Amino acid sequence: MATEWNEENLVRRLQRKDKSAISDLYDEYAPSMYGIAMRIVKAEALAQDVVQETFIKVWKNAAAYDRKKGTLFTWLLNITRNGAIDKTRSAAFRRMQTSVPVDDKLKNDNQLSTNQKTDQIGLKDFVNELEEKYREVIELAYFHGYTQPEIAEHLQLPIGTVKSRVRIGLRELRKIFSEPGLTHLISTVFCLSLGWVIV
Amino acid sequence: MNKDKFLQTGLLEQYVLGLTDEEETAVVKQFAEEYPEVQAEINQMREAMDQYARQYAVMPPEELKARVMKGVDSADQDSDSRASAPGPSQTGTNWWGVVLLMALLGSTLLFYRGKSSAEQDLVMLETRYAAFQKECETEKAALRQQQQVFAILNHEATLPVRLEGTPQEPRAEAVAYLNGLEKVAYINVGKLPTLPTGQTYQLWADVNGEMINMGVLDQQSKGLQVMTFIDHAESLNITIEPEGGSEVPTVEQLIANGEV
Repeated sequence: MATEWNEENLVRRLQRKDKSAISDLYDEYAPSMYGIAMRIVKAEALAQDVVQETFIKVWKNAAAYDRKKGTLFTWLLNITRNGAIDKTRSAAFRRMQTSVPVDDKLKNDNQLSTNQKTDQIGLKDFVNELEEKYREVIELAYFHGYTQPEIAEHLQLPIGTVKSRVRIGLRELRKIFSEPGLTHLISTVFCLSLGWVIV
Repeated sequence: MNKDKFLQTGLLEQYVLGLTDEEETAVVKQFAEEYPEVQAEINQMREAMDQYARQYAVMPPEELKARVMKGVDSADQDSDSRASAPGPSQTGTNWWGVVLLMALLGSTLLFYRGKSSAEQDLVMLETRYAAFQKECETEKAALRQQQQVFAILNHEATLPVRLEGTPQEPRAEAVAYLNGLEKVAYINVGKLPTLPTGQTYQLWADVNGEMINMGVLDQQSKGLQVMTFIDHAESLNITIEPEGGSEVPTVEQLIANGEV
């Protein structure tokens, strides 16, 4: 993970039009970007296009990046996500979707296949901790760019329920990822028990 | 609306997920500007979403990096050539403008002449690319199938059954793989003697003394063959049968068998 300094340095190099910054950015973030793009467009060739186009946009618009509005990673993911969602809305994508049922079938058939799972890096750890009903709402919004009424229609839920799931879901997600809190708790318990043993 | 009430509305969460409309977005931005703690809240939620997204990371193929770098390079060239277009001269040294204009005219002419051949190349490349992509998809499907077979062979429920030659045909040898969980059966028939035309090998499962047909072996194929899976087989048996196979095995022509 990029440290504060690293990220600041990267941004500076990027805004100075230093091309090695793109190379470093790629090494650091490409797997996440590619993963997101794959999650949205579900086709390797398209996902690669999305990643390439994202880096070109980043290179061209580096000056527009504003640290105050979020981390570099957030910015990169947003561009990737929007690019990928745009792709799914294009006519070409829809055509492709209808013409490749074979591939989908293969995907469904390969419970035995080993390749699907191993190339995702550590997926199972956290994602599954989030309850399904929150996860589906977050994923529809975040990965598919659905609006709240669209989510409500898709899941056949009242819009109020969608809103509250968005709220609780994000809160849960924050809890899951606020690891420092957990570490703090564990170390406190450890110190207390150590103290108890010594006494 | 005061800040605490605002935090209760859930607008922040909706904003982070891109669910707010223009008006709501403006409200959120106003609060974020006014209260640093609201901005901090947004940042924390975004951080959580980033972490969440990170969980989906997938290693891209190695060649993608070169493609990205190349894309950035050519994006640069595009903007360079745009940047070199003559703009209104500020210093009054019009000579530069003239030189640039000439250069631009010259290069436009060159580019124009190159354009039609480039277009032809592009069409050709696109066709080749499409063919290539199709080929890739086919290869990928084949590979997946291989991986499935491989996965079945490596599956913990897969049981290899070695079939050995009977006194009638001691050279015969074959290995079958049975997977009762996935209900699949494969056989490798590399080491059976070639039969004269009009005859074929057939595989049988012995279930409680009854021989049940698992299919005819294709002598041409050298690799693994898919056979019909039969539950509770006690042994597997290969007989020689007339072409097309038989309903009932010709027991005198049993040339290989193996216990499960």
